[in-house]
Amino acid sequence: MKNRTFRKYAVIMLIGIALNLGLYWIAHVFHLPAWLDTTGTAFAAVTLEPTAGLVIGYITNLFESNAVYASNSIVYYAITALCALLFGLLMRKNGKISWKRLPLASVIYIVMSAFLSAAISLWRTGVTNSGWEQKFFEIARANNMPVFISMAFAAGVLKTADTIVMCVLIPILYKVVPKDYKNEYYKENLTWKSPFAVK
Amino acid sequence: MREQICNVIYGQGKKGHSNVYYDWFIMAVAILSVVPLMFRGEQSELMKAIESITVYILFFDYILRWMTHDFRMKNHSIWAFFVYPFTPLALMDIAGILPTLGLLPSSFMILRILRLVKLAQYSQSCRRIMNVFRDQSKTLCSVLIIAIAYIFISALVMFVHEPADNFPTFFDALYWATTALTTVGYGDIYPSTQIGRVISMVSSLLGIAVIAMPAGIVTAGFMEELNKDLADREKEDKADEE
Repeated sequence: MKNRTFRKYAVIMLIGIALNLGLYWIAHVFHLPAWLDTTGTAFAAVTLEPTAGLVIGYITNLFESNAVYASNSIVYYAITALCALLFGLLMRKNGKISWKRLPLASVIYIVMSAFLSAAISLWRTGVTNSGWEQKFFEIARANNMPVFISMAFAAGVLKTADTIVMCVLIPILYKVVPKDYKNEYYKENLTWKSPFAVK
Repeated sequence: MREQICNVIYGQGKKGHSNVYYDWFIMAVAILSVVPLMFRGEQSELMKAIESITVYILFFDYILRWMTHDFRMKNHSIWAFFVYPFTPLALMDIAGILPTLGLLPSSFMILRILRLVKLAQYSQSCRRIMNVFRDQSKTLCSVLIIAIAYIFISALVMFVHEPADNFPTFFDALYWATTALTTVGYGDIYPSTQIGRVISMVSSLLGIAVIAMPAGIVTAGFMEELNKDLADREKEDKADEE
C-alpha cells in the first residue's frame, strides 16, 4: 500500500515537473506571451493534493532561478505556491474535484498572481522580467496607468494566457491519468478556529 | 503527505531514522552556510556555490515548516499558516535567508549569522538548554538583577574613590567592574590606590559567587532535563517491549 502511494506521488510529481519545465521551454523557444511554468504545479495540486503542487513548484522555481534567471528570483515561488493552493483547495468540494469551480479558481489566480508578481518584481529589480511583459507594461504606461498597476496589468495578461492553457490541459490530463494515480477524494481537515485554542 | 513531512521535520511521537537524519542534515547545512562568512573580500566560486545551495535548502526547510505548522501546533486551524511567518524562529530563519538572495540591502548581510539558530531548532541539547532557560526564567532573572546591581555598586564605589585619571567616566568604571567580576580582566583599566585595590579584591571575591550562580542554575536544570528525557525514553522502550 505504501509502495503504491509512493509510486503514485512520484509519477504524478515527475509528470508535473516535466510539464512545468517542458511548457516553459516551449513558451521560451516560441516567444509566446506566457510563462506556462505553473501548469504542472496546478495539475499535481488537483490530481494529488496541494502539498504535491507546492513541492514540485519549488523544484521548478529552483531550476529556473539557477538556469534562467538570478538566484533571487526564487521568491517568485510565492506565485507558484498560490497556484498550488488555489487550484488544490478551491477545485475540491467536499473532497471531490468539481470542474465547475475551475473558472472561479482561475479568475482568483489571475488577479492575485498579477498583483503578487508586480509586487515581487518591484521589490526585486523594479522592472519587468520578460519581453512580452515589458510590451504590455509600456502599453499600460502609455495609457497613463501608475507603475505598479501597469506591472500588474502586464503580468495579468501573461497569467491569463497561462491560465487558459491550464484550463484546457488540466481537465484532459486528469481524465487521462488512471484512477490508481490520482486522489479522487482528498480533504484537508482544516478549520477556522483560533490557532491558539487548546485541545 | 503533510503529516509525513511533519514527521520527518519534527519527529512527532517517537523519533524515527528519517527525522534524525533530517535533523543532522539541516544542522550540517546551517553550519556550512556560514562558512563563506569566515572569508573576507571577493568570494570564490566555491563559496558562492556553497552560499546559494545552502540557502536554497534552508528556504525549502522554511517552506516545509510553514506548510506543516498546523500539525506542529496540534491544532488544524487555517490561521496556523498565517501565524507561522511571525513566529520568532520563522522570522530569524527568513532574516538569515533574504540577504543572500539580494532582497535586503547589503547592510543586512550580518543577519546571515541567524542561520545558526537552526542548530537551536534541531539540536536536542540546544532544545534542553532552551527549556532550562524557560523553566528557570524567574530565578535567572532574579540572579541577573542581583549581578547587575552588584556590578553597578562596585563600579560606583570604584568611580567615587579612584582618581579621574584611572576611571575618567562612569562607563569606564562599569566596564572595569564587568570584566573584573566575570574574571575576564583585560587589564587596560585598573585601580592604582591601595584602598581601590582592596575594594577590587573584596568585590572580586564576593562577585565571583554572584556571577557563577546562573551557571549553577543552568547546569542543575540541564541535568534535570537530561534525566527527564532518559526516564521518558526508558518508559517508551518498556512500552515497546510490552
